[in-house]
Amino acid sequence: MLVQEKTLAEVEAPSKKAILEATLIALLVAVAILFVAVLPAEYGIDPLRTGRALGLIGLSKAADSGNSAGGRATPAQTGIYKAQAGAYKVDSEDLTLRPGEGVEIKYHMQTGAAMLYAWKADAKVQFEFHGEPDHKPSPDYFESYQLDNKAGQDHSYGSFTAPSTGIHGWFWENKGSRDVNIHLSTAGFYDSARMYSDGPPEPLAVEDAK
Amino acid sequence: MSHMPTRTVLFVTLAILFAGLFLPGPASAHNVSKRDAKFVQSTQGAAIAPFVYLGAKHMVTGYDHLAFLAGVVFFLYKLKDIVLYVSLFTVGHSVTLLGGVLTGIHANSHIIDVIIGLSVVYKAFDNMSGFKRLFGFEPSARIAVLIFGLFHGFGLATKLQELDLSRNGLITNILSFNAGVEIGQVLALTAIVLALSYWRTHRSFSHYAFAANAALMSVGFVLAGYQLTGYFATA
Repeated sequence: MLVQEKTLAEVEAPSKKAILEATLIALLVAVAILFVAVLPAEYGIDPLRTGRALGLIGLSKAADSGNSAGGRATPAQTGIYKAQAGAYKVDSEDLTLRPGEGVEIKYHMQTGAAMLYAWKADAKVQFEFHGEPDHKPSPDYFESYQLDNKAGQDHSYGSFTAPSTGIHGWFWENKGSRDVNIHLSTAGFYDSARMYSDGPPEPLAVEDAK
Repeated sequence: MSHMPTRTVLFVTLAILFAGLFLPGPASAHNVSKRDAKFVQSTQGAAIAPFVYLGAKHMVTGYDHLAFLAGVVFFLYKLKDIVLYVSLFTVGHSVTLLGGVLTGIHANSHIIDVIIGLSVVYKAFDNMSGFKRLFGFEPSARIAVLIFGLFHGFGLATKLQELDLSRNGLITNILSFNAGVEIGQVLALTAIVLALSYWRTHRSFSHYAFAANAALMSVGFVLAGYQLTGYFATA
């Protein structure tokens, strides 16, 4: 062999400064790689938003949801449940609407907060299930979720996830000629409730579930 | 010293970025893959060939083991030395692999993997003459490789334990797995030693040996940081 081999001892020993420098650079480069690529890809931790920009976030999500049927317990698909912030509240209200009268009950909820609801009336009433974001583009802005202003209904049961932070609830109107009694029950992660009838909005007491 | 800091910095940065690109995404260093895991869990009784294969596959695709081995043999060119150091590593990881699984000692796999990452950092620092120049002494490389071998074996043991092995044929299967690890290690080392021997005949080896070890050290830091985050993220 023409080129002389060097043993460990023959390779020139680097200076203290060079070793410290190289160690520091190695550490900094490692930290950069961790934050830019590894943590977003592996754990979905993305403080620099580089994971989103590079499309690495999908990797950790795919790993979480990837599964196939097997004999053993395997993690189910994601989206089955959603953890909720805030206190779990329950509320029930009894209303009586005279002919021609309308009333509104709204719950203040954060985006993504969930609620179960059920209301029943002893006759058909016109209603609209709708919401108003706290930050709305115009004073009259609202979003309609469900509307029946024709024949009306005497009940509605369901689950609801707030699309925006704001107030969400029902407007009922009695267009018949007799009084109608409505019973509303809700449970979920709202923080307060209000009733709107003729006068100013009236706060309703919602309870923390025991 | 011959190489200028700027050139070193540039080389280290490029080498690490290159290494970073090829760091596997969701698959992790020693996870026996999910499909293999199903096989292991459904296995009752002795299954020599499959466990030999899984052990070898684990070693050849376990880049943390490979990074450490690359550091260990970096400055070794005599076959006798290579055999000696690799044997020490093998003794170390066999003891804890067999002992760990048989006694049912459970270590936290993330913590073990952090230590494995730091073993790469340690060896790279040692190769950079860090101990000699900065602390004025060199800890025994042989004892170090033996001790880190123990941790590498523990890492393997915790992964096998997570698979919930059947007691039936357990010893045969662990021994088969361990044999496979050794086969995989020989295969991987052959490639590493060949590549290093070839590089060593070029002038660039002495120029970039230092930078290459700095790059290796950075890989060790990435592995350690990755597992440390995993420890806190899953705690």
